[in-house]
Amino acid sequence: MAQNQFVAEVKNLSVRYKTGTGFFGGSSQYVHAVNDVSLELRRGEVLGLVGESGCGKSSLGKAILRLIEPAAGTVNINGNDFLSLRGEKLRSARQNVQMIFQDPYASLDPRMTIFDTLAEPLKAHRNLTRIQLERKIHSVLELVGLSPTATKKYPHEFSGGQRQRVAIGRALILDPQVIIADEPVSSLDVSVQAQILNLLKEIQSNLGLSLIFISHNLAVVRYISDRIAVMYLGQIVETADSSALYEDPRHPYTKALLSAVPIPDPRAERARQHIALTGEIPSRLAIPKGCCFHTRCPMATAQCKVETPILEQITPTRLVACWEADKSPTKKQATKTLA
Amino acid sequence: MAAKTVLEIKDLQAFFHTRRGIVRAVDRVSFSVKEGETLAIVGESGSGKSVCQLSYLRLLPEPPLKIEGGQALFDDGKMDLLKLSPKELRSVRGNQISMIFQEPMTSLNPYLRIGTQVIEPLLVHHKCSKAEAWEEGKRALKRVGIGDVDKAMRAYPHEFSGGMRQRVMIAMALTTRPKLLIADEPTTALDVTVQAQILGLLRDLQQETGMAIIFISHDLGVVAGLANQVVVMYSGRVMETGSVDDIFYRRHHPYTTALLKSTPRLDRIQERLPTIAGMPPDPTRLPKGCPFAGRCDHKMEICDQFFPSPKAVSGFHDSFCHLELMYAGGGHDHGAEPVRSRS
Repeated sequence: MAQNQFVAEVKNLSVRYKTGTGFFGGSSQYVHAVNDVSLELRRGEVLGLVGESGCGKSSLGKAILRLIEPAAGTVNINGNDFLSLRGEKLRSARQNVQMIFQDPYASLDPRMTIFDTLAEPLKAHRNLTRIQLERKIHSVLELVGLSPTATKKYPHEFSGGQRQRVAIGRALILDPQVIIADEPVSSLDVSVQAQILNLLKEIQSNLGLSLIFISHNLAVVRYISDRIAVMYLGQIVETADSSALYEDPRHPYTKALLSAVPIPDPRAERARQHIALTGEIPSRLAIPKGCCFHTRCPMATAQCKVETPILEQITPTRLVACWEADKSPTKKQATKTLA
Repeated sequence: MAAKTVLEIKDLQAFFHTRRGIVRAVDRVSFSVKEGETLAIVGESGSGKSVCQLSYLRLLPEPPLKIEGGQALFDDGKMDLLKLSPKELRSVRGNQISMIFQEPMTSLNPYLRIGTQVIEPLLVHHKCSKAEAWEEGKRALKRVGIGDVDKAMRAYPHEFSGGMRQRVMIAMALTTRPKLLIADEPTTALDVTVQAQILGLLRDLQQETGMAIIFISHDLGVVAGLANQVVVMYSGRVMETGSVDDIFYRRHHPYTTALLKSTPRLDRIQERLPTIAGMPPDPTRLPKGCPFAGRCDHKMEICDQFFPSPKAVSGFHDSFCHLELMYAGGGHDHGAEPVRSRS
């Protein structure tokens, strides 16, 4: 029943970007944005993808949709090999996987009314009469909390939050099974951000959607996700259920990342022990050998500099790629948790 | 030991006169910051938190901006920034008052070496030779945690990452040993692990120099960890001001409460985030009364009629709200609703 449990399966996916060529057009350099990543998305779950800028989380999201062609690996959606599809078949399969982008100012065409924006996918993929089209558009607008009068308006007449509602509506209009949301609330203010997060959560659970939620904001990811994958330099370093990850992080990078996020609670902030990471993320042109995190890791040993740790399953729901991490299936008493 | 008040803003009003009407960007804003203290100004975009600082520093074009009233008393009341001539002001700005901005990418000149830029404030404000300034610049870079300072001084901004550039900005701001550092969202463009480094650096430098910091931010988590005093702004108005504990644990204003509650938390499971319905009002058509009234759960008739005068919740804790003060103390958690009664 594996086919039913996973709506999307990513295996050994790599994405790289060519950057400049050597003198005489010789050897080109590659930025390895995503390195050999495997990931499953279960039916009806929200999978959070977190990491700092440049960790490859957006590249991974886009590669799953083939908005960027992966350099290697496979993507199975509903058991079908998505990467081997061509032409009409690919176009048709894409109905099933939709994307929401970060900046609703850039992702909506300023010269199209909301009606046209929402009708475009339907016109491309479905053969609907005008009445059916209107009915569908109105039902989606209702779903995202906009009034039917919005159809005649242009994007500039809306605020950021409302535009993001339109973008969510556009992603939903073809009734996809999978939605990839790339930083959908990062450009919004806190009060509006909460509205959009609630909306996404509501729609996801009502429609039973599978959602990949990409964000750098760990508090937001905790709120919305069932399961979380942490990325660093193009690799997944830890995957766990949301509460397990936050209460008992195992990978040193996850620990450091969590301890660096400020909590809006002065007493908790004063009481916290921060794990200070030194230095910054290494260049993607020269990813460190061995464990990619060893240059900043407080636990790094000689082994970490040479051998690359693989994602190892330590409980049925947790994977960690680290030589030194605590591999016990249950949480140790002494483990320091967030205050 | 009474710490000196470095800056006191009194009833500052700064309006933009635009073709679409008057935007009351900063309206009767008052706050003060003492030596060695960090004052955080929080609010969402468009709340006037940045414009407020830029207006009394006269860093915005006038017109369209016009300062309509108020005072900006600097250095224990020695001078009113609003009354200084442009020349006098230039000798204060970048010297006794320094500023760092959100975008370390755009606030450095890409054509000039780091060293040239770091020593510029020294050459302008202090009578010293270029060689002395260069040495001082190196010390400044060392202080902000840059390793190879000789190399760094000769480097160009593009050779540095975002975090390193923000360190350079801080070094540059501190070369003249300012009494006040205004930091406008200095870590918003940075990753969390780098943000933690920069915040730690600011904290250490403040301890070392005793400078006052005005920290503008929309991130309540950062504010909780850094600030002594907090000013909450909304639509150009101060909503509530008090110590960091007043604001997080003993707050009175419904907007402060709503803002805190709608922030997702890393340290807890939240079933559903409380939201603030609607949007901030159109800045050219601000209501006569409280600008938050339209989104407030506790709205009363009086809220539409006039903006409230400050209510002293306790010593230095003021709330600009018509709601009665019936705060019973306690409330260890910002999820808990303070006790209120209606007048």
